[in-house]
Amino acid sequence: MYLLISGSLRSRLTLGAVFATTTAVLLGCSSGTQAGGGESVSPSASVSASVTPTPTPTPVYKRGDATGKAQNVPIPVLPEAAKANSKEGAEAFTAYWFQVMGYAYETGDIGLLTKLTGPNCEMCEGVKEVVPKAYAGDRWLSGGSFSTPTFESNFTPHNDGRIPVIVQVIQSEIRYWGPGGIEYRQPGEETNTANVAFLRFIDGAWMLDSVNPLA
Amino acid sequence: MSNERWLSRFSLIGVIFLLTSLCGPPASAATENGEARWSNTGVKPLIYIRDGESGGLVRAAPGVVNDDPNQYKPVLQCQVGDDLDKKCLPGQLQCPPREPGGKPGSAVIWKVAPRALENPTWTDWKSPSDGPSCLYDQKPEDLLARLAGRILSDFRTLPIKPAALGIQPSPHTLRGAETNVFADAVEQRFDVVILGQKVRVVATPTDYTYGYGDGGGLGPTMFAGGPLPEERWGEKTRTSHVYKQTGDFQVSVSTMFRGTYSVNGGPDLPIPGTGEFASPAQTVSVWRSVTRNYADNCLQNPQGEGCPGVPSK
Repeated sequence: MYLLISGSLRSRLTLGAVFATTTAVLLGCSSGTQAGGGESVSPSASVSASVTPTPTPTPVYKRGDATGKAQNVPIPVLPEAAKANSKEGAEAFTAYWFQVMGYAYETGDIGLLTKLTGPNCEMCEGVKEVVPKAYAGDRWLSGGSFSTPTFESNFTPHNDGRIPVIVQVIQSEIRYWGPGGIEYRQPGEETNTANVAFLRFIDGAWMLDSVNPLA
Repeated sequence: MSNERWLSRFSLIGVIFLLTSLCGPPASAATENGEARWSNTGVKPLIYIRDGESGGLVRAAPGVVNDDPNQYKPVLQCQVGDDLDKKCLPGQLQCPPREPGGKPGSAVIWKVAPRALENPTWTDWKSPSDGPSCLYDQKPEDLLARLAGRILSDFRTLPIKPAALGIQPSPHTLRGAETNVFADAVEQRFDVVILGQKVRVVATPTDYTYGYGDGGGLGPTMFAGGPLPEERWGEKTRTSHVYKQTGDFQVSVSTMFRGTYSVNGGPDLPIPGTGEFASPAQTVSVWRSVTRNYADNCLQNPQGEGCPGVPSK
């Protein structure tokens, strides 16, 4: 009887110790590597710092190709229409948001995209992970630009208060370049998809909370 | 005591595993192959559908959406709006007659657009041959509607091989035991000619309906079941059955297939509806088992019940 109690007590202690270590390690781990959640986290801050407009006078834009990545890509400017808290404003912002994503594909820079996007967007997290990887080392992309030819929305909030905007998204063919202009994988064919963007109007400006496929 | 120690060791291993998975590289988009297209990064986002009644948007239940989200249509290669583009005609794909004395076909480009949109913009469908294809008909514009109108009945008359039916144990099983019944069906391709077009049909098994022959049944269910190694016969499976009576029973399975069809190398179009194909029934004999315990063996008591030459009671 006594032995049994001491045995279970000891294993309970072991468990407690394990949990304590776990918590400590978990805390250490999350503060070190997590990037998406908070806005003040250092890794993403350094990325967004490079987005701040460069003061140099506009040199010539050159699209990406076998010789190298795109150069002097103009940062998409938020159109006046995309600032209105209205159906038209929501659609204009959605179109703008996809231009910003196109900027990320053309430059590898996801700073502005991150700034305009909430933390709940799985597809955006996917893009924020794969695009910088495609520009890591001596690699780059060409193509992959966006058009949003069709919108359907009626400015009626979803049951969680977000404003849904149904949007058709066409992303042009992507080519994958490596050192010496060698394509290291098959081009990704053009995609033509239906999606729903969920927006929030916060502090006088739109932001994209999530974008999801519409089947 | 030893149990609890084992438990704590087990949780320690679990915790370590959890830690490695959390502290490793972010696991969200796991495309190690480098795919970068925004809709293909490897994440599995929630999918929304339109609610039929309210017209609002609702989350699709996981696994519900597995159909092709696209719609397709063929457009004459050199057609622009209602007119023919004369400059395009010389470079147009030639569709010579396929048999002597036959009529030439029309070159078409397949267009694709998401199904969920009411008035979508269409883009060129990328064909495996990377170009236009041919349709052989007087009126290629409405050929597809005519094909769509009859493809389901054609599909149901195809020689689709039904599932192979498995029973464990068989042909004899025991009353009161779990008898494992399972189906094994495979995807099948057929090249047929319908309305003068070369049509490739792909039939995919989706659901199974089991009849155990004693009035019991299961399905339609997506579970095909599967064989058990012999040492595990008698275990309950998703598709197993317990016979309550002895006797001979006819076990059957019917497999539901859905299909797609591709016209002259065009995109895979969904067949509207399903076909059901029954497998030949198999007889299973259900026996009863009786367990009795005896103090002696047949050498000690040659007249005992169950010994050679002794009539059973």
